[in-house]
Amino acid sequence: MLKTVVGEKPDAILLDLMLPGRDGMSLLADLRGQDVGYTKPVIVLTNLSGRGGLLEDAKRLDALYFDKATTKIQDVVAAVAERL
Amino acid sequence: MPHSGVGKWLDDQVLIQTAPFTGVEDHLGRLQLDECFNIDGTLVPSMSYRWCLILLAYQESHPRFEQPVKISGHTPGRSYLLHKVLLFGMGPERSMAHGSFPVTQLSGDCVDCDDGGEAYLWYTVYMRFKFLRRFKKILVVEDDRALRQALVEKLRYEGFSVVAVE
Repeated sequence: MLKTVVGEKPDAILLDLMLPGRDGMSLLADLRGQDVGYTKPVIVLTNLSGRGGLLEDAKRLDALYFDKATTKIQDVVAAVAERL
Repeated sequence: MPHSGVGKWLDDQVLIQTAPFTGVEDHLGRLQLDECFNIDGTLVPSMSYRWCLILLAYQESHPRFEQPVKISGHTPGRSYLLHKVLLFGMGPERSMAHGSFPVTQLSGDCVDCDDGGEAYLWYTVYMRFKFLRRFKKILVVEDDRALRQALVEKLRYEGFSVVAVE
C-alpha cells in the first residue's frame, strides 16, 4: 500500500483509517517518516472518532481529521481545495 | 484593482499573464491549443513549481482566430473569443521576457483592450482554478466503496485529477 501511494505522487491524500490489512494511521506515519518524507496535505477520514488519541495522532502527523459520520463530502472537498 | 481572497494562493502558486498574440505566437508557436507543455516542449509533469498561465484572446472580428471558445465576463460591449490557454513552468528571465503583470492587477474582466487585435483578457477566477486543478492529483484511499465513489466524483467535478485506491 505504501509503495502504491508513494508511486502515484499525489498532491494530496484522502486517507481512510480502516483499511483492509492495514491501519491507516500507521500508513500515514510511514508516509511522514524519514524514508518517504511525504509533506503534502493528508486528510484522514474515520469512523473511529471515539477511539482515544486519534485526533492527537493526526495532528502530530500533520493531517487534517474528519469524522465520516458528521462530515459532508463537500466539506472534505473544500478542505482539499483550501490546502492546494 | 481589487481581487478576492484567491490572491494569496495565486501569489504562492501561479503567475497569471496575458500577452499580445503577436510576438507570443512567434516565441511559443510550437505550443498546441489546450495542451500544456513546458517552454522546451516537454509535457508539464506536475504542479510542483511556479507556473505561468498565458491567456490569449482575439477580438471576435479578428480574422485569425481558430477553434475558439466563447468567454463571458469581459468588458461589457465587447466580445472576445479565447484563442489559446498556454501554461508552462517559468523562470525569472521568461517572466521578464513576456512582460508579466503583478498579481495585484488580477481581475475577472478585461484590463486592457485596443483595436489592434491585442486583447488582454483575464479569464474568470473560477475557470482559472478549474483549469489549474487538472494538474493537482488527489489520491483517495478509502475502503467504503460508496464513499470512495462519491469523493472521486465530487473531486473530479471540482476539476481535480483523482486516483482511487481501495
